[in-house]
Amino acid sequence: MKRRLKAGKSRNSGFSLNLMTDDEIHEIHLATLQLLKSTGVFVENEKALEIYHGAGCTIDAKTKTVKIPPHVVEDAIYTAPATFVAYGRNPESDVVLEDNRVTFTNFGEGIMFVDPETGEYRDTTKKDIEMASRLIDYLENVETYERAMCSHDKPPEVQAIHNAEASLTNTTKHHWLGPVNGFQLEKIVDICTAITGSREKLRERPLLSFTTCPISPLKLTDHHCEIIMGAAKHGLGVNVIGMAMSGGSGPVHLAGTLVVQNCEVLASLVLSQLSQKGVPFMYGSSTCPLDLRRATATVGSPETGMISAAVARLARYYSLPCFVAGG
Amino acid sequence: MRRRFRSGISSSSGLGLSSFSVDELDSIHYATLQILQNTGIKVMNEQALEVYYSGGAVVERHEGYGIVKLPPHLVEDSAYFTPHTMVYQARNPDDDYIVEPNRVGFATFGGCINVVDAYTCKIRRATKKDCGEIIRVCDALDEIAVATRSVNSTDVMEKAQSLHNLDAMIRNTGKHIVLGADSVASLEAMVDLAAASVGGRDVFEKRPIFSVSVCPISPLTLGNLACEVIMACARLGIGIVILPMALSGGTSSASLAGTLVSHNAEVLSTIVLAQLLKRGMPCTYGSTSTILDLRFGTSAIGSPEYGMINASLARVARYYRLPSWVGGGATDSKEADIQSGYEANLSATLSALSGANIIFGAGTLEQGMTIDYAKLVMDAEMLGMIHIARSGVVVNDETLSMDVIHEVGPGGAYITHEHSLRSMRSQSQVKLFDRHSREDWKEWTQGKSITERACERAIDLIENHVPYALPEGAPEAMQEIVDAFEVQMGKNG
Repeated sequence: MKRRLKAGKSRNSGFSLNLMTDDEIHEIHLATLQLLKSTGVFVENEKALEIYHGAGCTIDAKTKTVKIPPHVVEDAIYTAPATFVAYGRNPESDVVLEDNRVTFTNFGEGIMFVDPETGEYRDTTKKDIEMASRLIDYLENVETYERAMCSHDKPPEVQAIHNAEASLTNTTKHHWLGPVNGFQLEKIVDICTAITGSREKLRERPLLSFTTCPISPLKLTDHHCEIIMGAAKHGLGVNVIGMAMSGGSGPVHLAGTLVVQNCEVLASLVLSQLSQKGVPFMYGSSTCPLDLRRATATVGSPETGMISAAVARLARYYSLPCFVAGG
Repeated sequence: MRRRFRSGISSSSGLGLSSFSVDELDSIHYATLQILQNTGIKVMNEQALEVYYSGGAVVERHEGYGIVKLPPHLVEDSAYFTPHTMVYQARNPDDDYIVEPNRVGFATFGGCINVVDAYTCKIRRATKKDCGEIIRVCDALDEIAVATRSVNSTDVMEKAQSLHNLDAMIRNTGKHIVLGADSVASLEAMVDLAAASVGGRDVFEKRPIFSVSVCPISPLTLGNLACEVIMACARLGIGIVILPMALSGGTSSASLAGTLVSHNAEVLSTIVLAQLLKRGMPCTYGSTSTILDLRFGTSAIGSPEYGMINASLARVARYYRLPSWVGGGATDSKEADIQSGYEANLSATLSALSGANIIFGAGTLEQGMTIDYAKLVMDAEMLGMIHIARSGVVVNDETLSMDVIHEVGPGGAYITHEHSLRSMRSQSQVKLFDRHSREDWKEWTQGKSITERACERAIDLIENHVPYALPEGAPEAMQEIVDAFEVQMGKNG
């Protein structure tokens, strides 16, 4: 039987979630803009305060509160790239992150370890990171590497550098590393420069991005600002992971927690884009409710999935690549 | 701060799965109509062939069967005449369950033959006692909306099995019951039995407390028993759940879309028969279709395709505005282990977000061969989580909490704010699952695994749950009906 082509019918390209309507997303956005303008965020870093001030934000020097006018936020959203290429050490490990493309990565950062040989429950070590990153290098469905554990066996001041060395030598996949502060960030950039051969090559194919977290509610610490500005200086991506915990550091209602987190991430985005227009930025989130009866973080709760899905939807609304918790 | 109402903004009522565009659903529908018109279905019952013929179908006679070719209008009419909203009536009116597109509820798998004993944790053949006890546990679990014949009473007279199943179930639940019927004689006795349990035939006719599942045989065949049972159900005023099990790659196309088409053809052609027999007869669009794993030769109900097929068919059922009854929550694993958790959650979530009315699979292991008390109880908790997730993120002035965020300000604490106390109950809660810190976990569990704790809960329910009471004299009357039927069957065979 002849079956002629059908004229342009609409097709679904797979399963997806109907989550919030455009109107609802818009409400979250408007609530965020209002709060950034009227409540503001606490910013601990002097240089960052200056940058915000230079762009037209209102600064209260005594309380270190920054109030950001809506147009500054909208500008930053506009200048951040919609596509984020998570470059690997070799081109085979490159992964494109943008609107709706889904990939998986491991959890980070674990501080305790169940030893696979002895079954012992103990502190994590640098050696464990080496093993974990080599395993992740092998796993096809784990497409990038987030610092999986921390080197408890190294001095706290330089742990992040050891963490970086341990994994950079064991997997070619893109790294999401927490440098803790500006000092260690510079050292990690040096290590990466040694790998790529030069700063220019690192800029061309940045094999790592830095992760950093605001403190909820609405606080950008000194180190957080250092990392955002440091990454911008080197043209490296920054992954700002909001961690507002509903019921603890955010309102119990998920919509309210989304707003708090959105304020923190967008305030960080503003700093990033004011430091260097167009520098890659990931909208990150790793949050869950605080179980108010047991006072524990409930990463296994349905709300964890719900809020992560909502963050992903919100990031798509901003055309920003995103990084959320799940699994 | 004053925040006036916003005029008519669109809001979402929860999470939903977007699976097919309307164009794609139309394509599936047209393909189905063409298959029904050009290929037709094989019907192995003379009387049913007559019904199809007088309804306007083309019937080609062969030795022992006929090929029925259905004109599109007949199919579309029949889907239209089927009730789009209905109630699964329950012996306990509080358990009445409304089925209409998008209302989501859960049930166990049907027709397992083995059970993992709650006391010994060992696998063995299921008995009538198990059939009753599993249903008693289901009766106690809020997440289970209707009672499915989870296991067969394999220790009773074979010809009286479905009657025994119903007997065991009615005694243990007030919820609506869905089960298969061995024969028309058996079905008639089942109606007598159910009537006795509700206080008479007239009460049963108004509130039929059970529906019957009928299974077309893939590909595209309606067997003799299925036809007989459908005709008897039409006569007796009982609803049917049409439940094909197409195995993609075995009894249907290896492509999922092709499987959806032949499955759809099987359901719709059965609906045509039912509606020709009795316009408005309650029919539920069912599915337990999945892939045939071509390497292991097993029907893989733990596969992602199981969830995909069943969620898709729930969407197709909604396209016709028909109530749906699809798979989800089952596993291929032999134990209630991590594999079983992963697999069960994926398919149950997909089907739930797709708006299926009943998703059956709770408690099931081993390609649907075995039911496990521990998994049943654990699944119930998972299903509660799915319900929470399905409700989605609510966005309104109250939940956006702007005044609270402003009052708490940068660096403040929400936990001490009055708003948190007031809203605390909106959080999800756990009963069996663990959310403690490691130290508290050790103390709370006393070293017992979740499976052990689930078994304890199941045993507690078996021993202490009291189902909705039967009217006085009903248990004895039911026993007489079962005994009489066994005698009748014994004589005949």
